Amino acid sequence: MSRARLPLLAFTLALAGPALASEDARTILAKAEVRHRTKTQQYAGELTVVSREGKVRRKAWRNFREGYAGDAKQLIRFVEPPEVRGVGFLSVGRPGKSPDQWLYLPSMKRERRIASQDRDASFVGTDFNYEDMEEFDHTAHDVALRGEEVLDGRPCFVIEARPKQASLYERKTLWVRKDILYLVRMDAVRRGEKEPAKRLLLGDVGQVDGHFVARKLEMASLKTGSRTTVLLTELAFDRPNPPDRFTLQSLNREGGDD
Amino acid sequence: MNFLLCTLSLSYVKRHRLQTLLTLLGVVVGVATFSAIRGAQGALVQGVRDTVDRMAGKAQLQVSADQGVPEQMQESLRELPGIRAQAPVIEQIVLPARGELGSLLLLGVDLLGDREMRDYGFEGEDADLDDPLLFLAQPDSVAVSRELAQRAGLKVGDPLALKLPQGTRNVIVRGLLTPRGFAEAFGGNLVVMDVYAAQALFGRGRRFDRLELRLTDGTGLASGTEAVQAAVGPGYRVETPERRGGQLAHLVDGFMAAFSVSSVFALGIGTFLIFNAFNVSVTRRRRDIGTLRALGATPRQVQALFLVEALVLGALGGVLGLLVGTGLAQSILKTMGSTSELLYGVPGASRADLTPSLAVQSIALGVVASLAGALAPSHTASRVQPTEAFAKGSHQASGAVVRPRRIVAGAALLAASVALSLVAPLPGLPLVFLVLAVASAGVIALAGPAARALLRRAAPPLARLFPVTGRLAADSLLSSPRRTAGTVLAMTLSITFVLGFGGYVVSAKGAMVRWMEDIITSDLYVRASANFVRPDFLFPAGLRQELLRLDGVQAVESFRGTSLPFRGDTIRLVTIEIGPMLDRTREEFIQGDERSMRRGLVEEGKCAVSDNFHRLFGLGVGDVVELATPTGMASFPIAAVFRNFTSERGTVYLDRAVFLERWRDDRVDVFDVNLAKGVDPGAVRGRIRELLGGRMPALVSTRREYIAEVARAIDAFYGLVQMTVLLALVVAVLGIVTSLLISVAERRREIGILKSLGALGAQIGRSVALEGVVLSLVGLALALPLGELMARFMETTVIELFTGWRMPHTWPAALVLTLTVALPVVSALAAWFPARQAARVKVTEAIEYE
Repeated sequence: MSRARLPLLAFTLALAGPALASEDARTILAKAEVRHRTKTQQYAGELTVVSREGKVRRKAWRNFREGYAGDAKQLIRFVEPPEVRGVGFLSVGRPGKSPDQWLYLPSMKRERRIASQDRDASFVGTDFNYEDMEEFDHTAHDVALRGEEVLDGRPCFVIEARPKQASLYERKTLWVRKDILYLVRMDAVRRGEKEPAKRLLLGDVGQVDGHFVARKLEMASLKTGSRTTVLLTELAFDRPNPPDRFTLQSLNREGGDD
Repeated sequence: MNFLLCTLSLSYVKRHRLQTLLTLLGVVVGVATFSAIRGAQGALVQGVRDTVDRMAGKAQLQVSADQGVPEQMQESLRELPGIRAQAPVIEQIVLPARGELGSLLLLGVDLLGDREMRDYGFEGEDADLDDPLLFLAQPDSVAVSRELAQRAGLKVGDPLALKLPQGTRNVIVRGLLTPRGFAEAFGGNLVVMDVYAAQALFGRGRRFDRLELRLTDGTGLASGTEAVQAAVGPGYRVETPERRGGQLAHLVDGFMAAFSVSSVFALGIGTFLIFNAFNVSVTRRRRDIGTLRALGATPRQVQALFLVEALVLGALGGVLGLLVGTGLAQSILKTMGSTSELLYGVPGASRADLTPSLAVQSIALGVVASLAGALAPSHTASRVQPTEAFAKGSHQASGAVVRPRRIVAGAALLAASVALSLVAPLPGLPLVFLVLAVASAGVIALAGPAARALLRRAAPPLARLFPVTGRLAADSLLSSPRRTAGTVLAMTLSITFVLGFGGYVVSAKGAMVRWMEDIITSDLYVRASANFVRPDFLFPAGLRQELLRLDGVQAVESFRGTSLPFRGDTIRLVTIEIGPMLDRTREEFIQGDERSMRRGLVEEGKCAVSDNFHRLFGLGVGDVVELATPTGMASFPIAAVFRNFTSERGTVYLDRAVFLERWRDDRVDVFDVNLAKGVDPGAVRGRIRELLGGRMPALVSTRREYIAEVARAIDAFYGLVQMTVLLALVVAVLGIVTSLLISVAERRREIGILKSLGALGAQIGRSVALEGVVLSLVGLALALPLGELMARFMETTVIELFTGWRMPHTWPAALVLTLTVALPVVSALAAWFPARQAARVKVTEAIEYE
């Protein structure tokens, strides 16, 4: 099974030690991890947010990632529309802790740290929040195989993941395609709730540079009825990044990231 | 009793509508003044509390300091156990270009993470923020409350012009706040922007006004406060929002307390009007009373009748006064609100609502004042004998009896009030009320005899000046000692109040202006903010070098003022380059001298303190001032004490170098620019504006302009005092009208006889007008020494109790001159209607009167 490579959410499924009670789920995720691991990834994203009333907002960004799971680093640079061009987002993972995150605003000529309390805040008005933007580390979750289901005509493992550390979510349910071990859907249930608050769908799965990847991500807020779609183009893997790409200096340069 | 009320009282009211109306007006004005001031005070204090509470949202603790909280503090608190969330805040009151919208509270928050503290309704089903990324990316983005948007006719995408430090600028409405929780703060006049945009807009540098904290479950407030205080050091206040709201409310409450004196005073004068009115009512109804007594009514029943009348009048006056006062409270609130915003940076309330407790208090006061005024006349009424009552003219013929004991008692009471003011056995407002009450009692006792003595002396020259009308007026005043005494008393008290408060304002303003002339001696003053106490923009320190490089500039000093907690109070800390400042200013030293101040502050790291700090805290040269600084507690020995009017809570001066070392904050409020000899300040002003244009706000004033601007700020502070002084005058004039109406009514028989003997209507009318003029002049003559005493009491005892200052006395020549000219004119005008009534008296009706 191939590991689902989610450029935006970076659902990096790191290797985990076997746990007797959930050996099957852990093994599946570990295999996915091995199959889809890449050193780096970059793409151009087209972001569309559609509100419940049907109001549409469009933006575009460039995304760069390096590393995996707990130590993954990510830089996003907005390129469209002109009013937001140059806005940057940097996330630097810290093993065992929440990642450090900063937002750079060109109009202020300065970066600002996203406090850990803000993980629930919407990421720049999308249906993703800051926790959704963090690298997923399955070793930080208790996982269990809940069965198998057919999704869009393809058989999938259904795995339940419960965060071990502080999180907005009580549990997440993952649908992983059996044939290529690739994540194609995730439902997330907030703490204290019973029904999923969000649903992530990964579509248009194909191969780029020999790696499976979803070219379309759609996050839906099930309660508000809004949804955010990201279309991935210009995908590339394992290209070396400049050494200072994931630094505050680079974030504050306002561009020239290519 | 009902029968008596319906027949005797109602028929009297019907026959004397205007006089009843004026008596009622006395209660109305008194109660209206009281309820307006108390209503505005209550609304302002409650508004401050509400605004602080609503804005605090879920925050449990707030970390603040007058000089702001550095951004780095977030890092030091980030990993502190027990802290669930922290959020930076910048708070600023701004004025929209459209003045009718009122002051707006601009709140700078970190929109990325502030939801832990406040509920915005930006997201979810009622999403209000058009595009969060655009909002953050564009520093001119604001969200406004839906209520404000509706009032201003704004929708998302519209510009809103604000008067900002840099001039009038447009911000763009990119979000609307749903009216719940904190969006209702400041009466909904709320504008939210990104905290980092607010930092730039208001020159906060890399600082916030405060950090708000939310504790983790299980962390107690006390232990949380202790841990945070230990982490941030003693230079910062760590307190709950309730405590902060309470302190701000206390500050505003204290500022308003002085005005309570005015409202009580107005009501006191109103009581005298009622006393006068009931006095005449008793006189007019002597025959009715005699009839009642002859028919078997007991004295107690007669007294009860008058007291019930007073009760009805008081209740009616109380209700009407309350209604008028509620309307008036709105305009007082506006004045008080903007003054408290200016002085304390405290956002107030936008609406003064009538509370049940205030309604009860106001009506009760009206009733009590009315009953108090009617007590003595009703007692007189109860003692009327039927035989006396039916003897025509007998009452009018009775003269006053001089009582030496009363004069002695009055003089003793006045002396006692002076002694009390000097000894000050009580603190604060209780002392003020005690001294005023004892002095008023003395004046009550002395006014009648003194007025009579004055009138006797004035009668001959009056008769020479106006052979007919003068004699008539003097006779009328001297033949009705009670009425004359009552009116003179009301006039005297009113004018004493005017001279006392007005004189104090003249002295205080004079002292402050002289002080400014001595210390504001630079050629140009470069400010970033029009607000002297709470600047909304601060200059970076580096600007000094740029100013020094300009042609014609010889020296530049960097002035910075900030507030500090000290012994449970909030004092002002002023820092500047002390050496150059002393070279150009003239200070009045109470302790130490210029040399000791220069050496102490510049070379030895000591401080100098203002005279009021010295008196308020009992600290002088040789003592040590312990101040909490961002780098820990610091001790500053006092090198000098000097007269200084910077803050009513006391001021400490430090050399700028010491401030920079201990506070690590180099921002500047005002650059004092000194020019080379012969250089035109206008030309340099142009260069400074050019230098700062587009970069920073620049208010560049010449010395004269700067003094005038500070003087205007002082005027604004005393604006409300002047308003209450005016109210006292209105009550006094009402007193004259009532008194003259009474005079005409009392003398109908006499006027009828005069007319039958050939007196012309015009002559009678003029004599009534002259009576009004004489009454006011006698009141003024008696009030002059009393006003002087009251002004001195205000300038020394009262002001020292509240602020520690002592104001050198200035005789209010202009005020006295104005009163001397205006009072007779106003009195003559006020006498117009009674004079007309007198002139129209018919002989046949008049001689049947009484």
